[in-house]
Amino acid sequence: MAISQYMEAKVISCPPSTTLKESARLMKANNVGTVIVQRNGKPEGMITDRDLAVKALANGKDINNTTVSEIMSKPAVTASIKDGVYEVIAKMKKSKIRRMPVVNAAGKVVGIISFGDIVGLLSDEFNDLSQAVLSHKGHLAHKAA
Amino acid sequence: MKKLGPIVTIDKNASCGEALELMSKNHIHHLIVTENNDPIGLVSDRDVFFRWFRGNFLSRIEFEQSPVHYLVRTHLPFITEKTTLLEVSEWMQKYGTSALLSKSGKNNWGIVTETDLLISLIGILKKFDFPRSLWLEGQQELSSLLVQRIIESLVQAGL
Repeated sequence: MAISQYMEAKVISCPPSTTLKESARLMKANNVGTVIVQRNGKPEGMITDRDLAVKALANGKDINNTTVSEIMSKPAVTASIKDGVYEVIAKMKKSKIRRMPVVNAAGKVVGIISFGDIVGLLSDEFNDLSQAVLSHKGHLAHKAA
Repeated sequence: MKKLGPIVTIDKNASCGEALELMSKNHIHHLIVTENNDPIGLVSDRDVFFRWFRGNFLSRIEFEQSPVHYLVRTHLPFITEKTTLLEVSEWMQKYGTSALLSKSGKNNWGIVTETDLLISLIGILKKFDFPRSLWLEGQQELSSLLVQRIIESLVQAGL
């Protein structure tokens, strides 16, 4: 159950000098809520639709002249491609975040994993599990009869 | 499923600016939208963002004065006492939302988020004393081992 099976491999990224307006356009064009801020392929931070709404709009930032580096969440908390589910949950809980870039051994971003991905993964597991338990219970009942 | 975070409501005639302020102040992603004090749907920070930006940004004044009812998602199913965790997960995926309204009885309503769902699922694992070390390895097949653990519990309980 490697997280690589459940992460989103399509990553939308931008350099730190990107303006808030450009980052919003990226989100809209790609229908995503997170843009990874990268320098030379390595994550420096992350900006979300919530950051734009709460940190930019509510605080009256000039979206044409403010760069993502000024309001992004940093440093970027990352998951390793080799991490297990529990490790990812623990990192999200500790850092109070819901989405994380996934990096390979060289530190390059290879995907993004969200709370929703993990919920989906666990739900699939529990679905399989309930089927197996019900099937076994049925088998036991049949044997007893 | 036990609700962990605060339940914050907003009237459908309130403004988007008020919605944003409530979300920011309470560190939450969703608000329950009400009409005459009855819940009619949900609004998320993402909905607010996309109200502000639809290819072009609305001016701050124009955005802040827009009523919340433009954003409210009213087509989402309600969670009841009979809804399973699996159904909650499936609905969240199907409707592309990370929260759903829950209703129990006539006036007892709330909100269930992905966080609540995840914590409930982990709670089940804990109930069966499933070792964390197996998850940490990242490659283990959860199901077969957990099935074994549950079946042992069922046998011990004489079920």
